[in-house]
Amino acid sequence: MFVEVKSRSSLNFGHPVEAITEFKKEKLLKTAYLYLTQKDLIGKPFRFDLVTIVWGKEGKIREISHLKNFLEGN
Amino acid sequence: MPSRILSYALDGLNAIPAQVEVDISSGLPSFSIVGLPDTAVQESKERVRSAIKNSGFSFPLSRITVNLAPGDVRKEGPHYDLPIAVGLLVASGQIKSELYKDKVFLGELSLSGELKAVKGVLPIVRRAKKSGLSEFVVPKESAVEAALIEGVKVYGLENLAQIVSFLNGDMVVCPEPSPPVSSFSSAPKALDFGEIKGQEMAKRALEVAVAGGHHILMIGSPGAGKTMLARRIVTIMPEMTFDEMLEVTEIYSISGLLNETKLVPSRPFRSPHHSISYAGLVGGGSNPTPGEVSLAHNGVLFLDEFPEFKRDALEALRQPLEEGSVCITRVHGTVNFPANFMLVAAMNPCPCGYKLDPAKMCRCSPGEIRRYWNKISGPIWDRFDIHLLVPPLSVEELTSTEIKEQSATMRERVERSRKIQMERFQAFGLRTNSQLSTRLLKKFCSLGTAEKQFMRQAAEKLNLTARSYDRTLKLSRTIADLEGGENIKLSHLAEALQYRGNEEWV
Repeated sequence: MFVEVKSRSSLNFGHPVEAITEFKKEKLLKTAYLYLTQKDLIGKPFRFDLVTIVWGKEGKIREISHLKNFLEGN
Repeated sequence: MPSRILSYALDGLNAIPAQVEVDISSGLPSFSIVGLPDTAVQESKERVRSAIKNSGFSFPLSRITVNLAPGDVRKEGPHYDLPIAVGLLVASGQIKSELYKDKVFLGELSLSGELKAVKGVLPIVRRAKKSGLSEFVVPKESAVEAALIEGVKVYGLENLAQIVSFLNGDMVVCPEPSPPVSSFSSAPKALDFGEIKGQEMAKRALEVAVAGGHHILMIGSPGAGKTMLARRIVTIMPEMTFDEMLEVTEIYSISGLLNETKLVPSRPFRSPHHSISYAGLVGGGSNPTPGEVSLAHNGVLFLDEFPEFKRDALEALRQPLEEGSVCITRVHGTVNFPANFMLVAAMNPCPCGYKLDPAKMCRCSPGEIRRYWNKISGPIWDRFDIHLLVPPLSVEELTSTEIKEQSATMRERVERSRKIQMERFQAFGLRTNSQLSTRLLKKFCSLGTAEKQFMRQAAEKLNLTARSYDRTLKLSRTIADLEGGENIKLSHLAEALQYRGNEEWV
């Protein structure tokens, strides 16, 4: 299970989930394959989850969400 | 669970019930619309997103899927903006009550959330009512149009925020009132036959034409007054019934031609330029829209400079003239538009126009004249019941100050004769004498002995074809009706014979 974490301190520049682009998704997939190849785990099922955090005042979390299986690969 | 909003799809004049389903599920943010949307509907995404944000609501940052059911009907037009937005707000819990469930939603959204009028509201409301739906939420500008239909509740609102308040039960909205019946009669006419000097024969011929629904071709020199006469024809036509007005208004609604009054109260007069294409005249395009023949439905189609029209455009007139409607076939289906109009055409007797002028000399060679007349095929020529020569005015007529008969008096006679025709044809499904078939002619146009004798002589001497013979009978029937008489007399037949076409003129 791979977990990608994205956070923002404010929503002025968009919600963290909007930071996921096609390019980044491909990059994540390539990185994952590299890792699996190195560890000799090719062919085993894997899952990509996303955790987004919006920070509030004084280091407290304003919003957090967990998106399971947001990326499909082969 | 996806939300479900009622709406309608328009296919020509046919309204098909559509359901807008909106589902919000987990996943990376996306917004997709399925259900055969056309480009305008695809663009809904942008309008809906901005409208929701700018109205102060939150746009869900999730995977949004919109389905426009049924999935095999093409969805066209921007009127799905509103149901999609409402569906989104319901699915994301921003519209809380269930008040939306039995209402039909139509409307385009601007980026600021304002509702904009859409085409085709009237035909949709008319047909939705037949299916048992009675509550409609539409843009304020379209509400007057929708309220023309009795027995339905039309809520006309100005923007998305108002709609949400309304649907959450926070705002009371009164249904749009039906416009008062008095506003349906058309305004007093600006034009009048009394303004035209001379041309008594022509005026009489037009009266006969309108009374019996006969198509008429006027032939005369330039400046004789053909166009002036044609424009005044609608002033002697009887007022439309409310149903006829609705028929015409529907056609104008889907063409986007309705003005603020949102109703077409007077008979249309269409006068297209002779460079018009086949599709412009009859209707068409990849997304079929009504042509001039349909825009002239229940009114007059005036074709000035008749031989200058394209041959195929004129041939295309055959179907509407015969059936009163046009059927436009495309790859994905056929669309029917009504096209029951009175055809009035005008032309010159020759290319320079002065062949029959007593004063001016005609400059055309016989070849030019023949080519000019060849542009009109036999069958097209035959479509006209009345062929009328319109001579230039004499000096006495031009300078006369005598008061001429007003349109109003002419119209009274026309209305009377129309009434007679209505009673006569009640059981037969016809409206006017011009529609009489050969079989029914025998029934309604029986002649006395002297009249039969007269017609036999005429047929011989004038070489009448069977069609010309029938046509003469039809016209005499109308002329007799105008006099209020039951029997067709010799004078009626004689007048009718005057209106037959005679190519020996040229």
